[in-house]
Amino acid sequence: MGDIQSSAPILGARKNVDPGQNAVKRLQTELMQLMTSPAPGVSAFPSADGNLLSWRATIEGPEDTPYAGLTFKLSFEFPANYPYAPPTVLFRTPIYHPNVDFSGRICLDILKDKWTAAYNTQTVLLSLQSLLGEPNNASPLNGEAAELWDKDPTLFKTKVMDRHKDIDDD
Amino acid sequence: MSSEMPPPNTPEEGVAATNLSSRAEARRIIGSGVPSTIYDSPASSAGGSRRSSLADFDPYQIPLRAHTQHQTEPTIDFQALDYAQQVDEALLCPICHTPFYLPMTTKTCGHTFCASCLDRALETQHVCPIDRRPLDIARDITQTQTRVILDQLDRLKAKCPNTGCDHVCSRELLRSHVERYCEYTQVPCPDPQCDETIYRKDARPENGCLHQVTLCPYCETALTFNDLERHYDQECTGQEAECPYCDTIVVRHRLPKHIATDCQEVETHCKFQSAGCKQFARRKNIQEHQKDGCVYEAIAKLMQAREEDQRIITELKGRLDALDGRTRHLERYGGGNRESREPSAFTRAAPPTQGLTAHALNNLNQMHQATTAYPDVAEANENIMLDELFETFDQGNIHHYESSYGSPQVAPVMMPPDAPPVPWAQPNGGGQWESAEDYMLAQFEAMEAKIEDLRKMMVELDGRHTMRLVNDTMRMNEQIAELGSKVGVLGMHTTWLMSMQRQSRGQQTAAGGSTPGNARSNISGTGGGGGGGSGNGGSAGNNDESRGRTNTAAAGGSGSSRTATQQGNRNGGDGDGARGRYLNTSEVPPVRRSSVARGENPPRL
Repeated sequence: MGDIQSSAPILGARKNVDPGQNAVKRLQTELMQLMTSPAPGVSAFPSADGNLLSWRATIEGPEDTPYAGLTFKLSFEFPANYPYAPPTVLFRTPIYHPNVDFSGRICLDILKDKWTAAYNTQTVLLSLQSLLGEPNNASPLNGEAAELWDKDPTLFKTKVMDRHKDIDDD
Repeated sequence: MSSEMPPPNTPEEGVAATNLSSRAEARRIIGSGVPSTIYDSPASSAGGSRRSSLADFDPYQIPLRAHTQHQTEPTIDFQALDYAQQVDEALLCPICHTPFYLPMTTKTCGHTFCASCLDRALETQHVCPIDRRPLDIARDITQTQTRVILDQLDRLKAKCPNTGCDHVCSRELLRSHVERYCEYTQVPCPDPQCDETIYRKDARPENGCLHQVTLCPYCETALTFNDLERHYDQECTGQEAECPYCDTIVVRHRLPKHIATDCQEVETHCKFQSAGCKQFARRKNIQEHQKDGCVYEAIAKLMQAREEDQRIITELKGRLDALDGRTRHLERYGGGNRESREPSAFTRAAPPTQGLTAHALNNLNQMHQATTAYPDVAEANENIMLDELFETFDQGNIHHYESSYGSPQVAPVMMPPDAPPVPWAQPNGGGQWESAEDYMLAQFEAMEAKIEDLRKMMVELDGRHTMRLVNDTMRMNEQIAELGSKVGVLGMHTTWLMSMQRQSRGQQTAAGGSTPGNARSNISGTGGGGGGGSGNGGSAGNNDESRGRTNTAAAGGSGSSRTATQQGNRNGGDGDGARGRYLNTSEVPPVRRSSVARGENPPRL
């Protein structure tokens, strides 16, 4: 209606690209991809504070594993040089797993030295989902869990259920 | 461009084209209009020298213009572009998830990435980001050579990255748009003392430096001139004015523009005014009027289409002229050829038009005579004549156009007094033709009539031929059939004689069953039916009898079947009866009777 509202604001063209700009751009395309073609059992979305470098994700426990029927919440913190460096991924839902410690930190090679720029949020989530069913007991963060996984699956399952606890969002 | 295409199988399609010139050529071909910097990299311009790092290769490097030594030039972040279309996933870099820019392909595993993405990925690890295969930066990475991919990437429709510009073009053209044309590209301030940049649209020498701090005339905020527009739009709360028409509050400075383009209450013309619409009302009504479909919209479209058509017509006219010139040239060339091998009246006659026409008429006349005298061969001649006529006509036509086109006196001039009489050329008695075209048209009509006559004659001739052929063939067919029957009779006679001889040698039996034999022979003689199975078995009697009767029977058979039967009856011989029946029933077809009827010689045994 009025002139003030109708004219588009005219700002200066981008002079120096913010180093996080590429990461944000890439995360936007990833988000678009997750929305348009979601993978079953995993989901991810930027956290509510509007910072695109911080995401919240969920993984459903795979069938035929002790985690079946459980849902796990995770947090993703992307560095400014993402995707050239891996995101920091934590389990926010308490989980009893050989490769996850009690504060939720994950021992997974692709989140450390095996990270490559071709990975993305979706592939990481799918890798974590498969890690639930196939833990790497050779390098455990939770030694007890690694032992029980082979020795006493029933006890393992009990521990998993004991540890699991739904948490609120943020 | 096509003439410059390199021959197939040149190294430009190969995997590693190290030939500098062919690479440059290929680059030129794929990217006509692409600033060469896109595909230029130190790696390619250095020929076969190895790069130690991809970092040497700065894809964002663009040539600086002469007067911008202290300025940052506009750069395009191709990986931050927005695209105006859906991009095929196959064209997305796995690292940045945007369409490849300066794609590089690994030689070992064939994966493709943007050059800058791969470069950064390899800073940490020298492995392929997809499959972690070790990569030697100097050896295992090459620029993507596949034309299909590069072309697809070049053709992607991208939006101009400058805020405020909504230009969309092929990605390959985007750089030139930003560098040369985009009004919203930041360029150096025209004031050489000033280090700031400014929109291209504002960078006019007459504007001077727009970076002095000024005060907004309305709210007295201190800001640079460059920011004034934005300030008016977004911030300024100073002196505002009320639009006299619609009561909207706008910055005073903007009032004229508001009235000119935005105000809904101000009276204005329909946008199809140029097409004749007389509508003049408030803008909101006008907009409704336009939305409902201004009747002049169609006219405006029509006029637009007409302009387009006009343009096309002009273009076609030009082309037609060029073609005309060419045709004329070809005609002259062809005419010269013909004259050189067949001197005609055209070359000898002093006034070209007259001689020419005379020549044409001569041809026609000759043809006419030929057709009347030798209808069978006229057609071949006719073709030649027509060719000649066309040619001479065309040449003559040019002269007419140049000299006397449109004059009613053309025809008499064209009818030379010494030309032989042309019976079909003067249907109106006086030969008064309106123009050269009419005359020639009449000639052609006459020719057509002649051709039609010829055609009829040919059809008639054809019919006659067919008739004759049919008649001859029928006669021959009959004769052949007759001969065939005669041969059959001869064959049967031979068989009968052979069997007779066998019987006379080996058999001495008494005659028997004469009465049934007779009866049967009568029946078969008259009716022509009956079975002949018993003929041989029934034939009996002594040698003398049978021999003597053979002749009789044969003669009777040839004379008439009735005779043979009567003879058989009269003789009362059993063998006779059997023989006669034998001959008559099974061996004498109707054909034989017809030949008998014609009175030909009976077959001899």
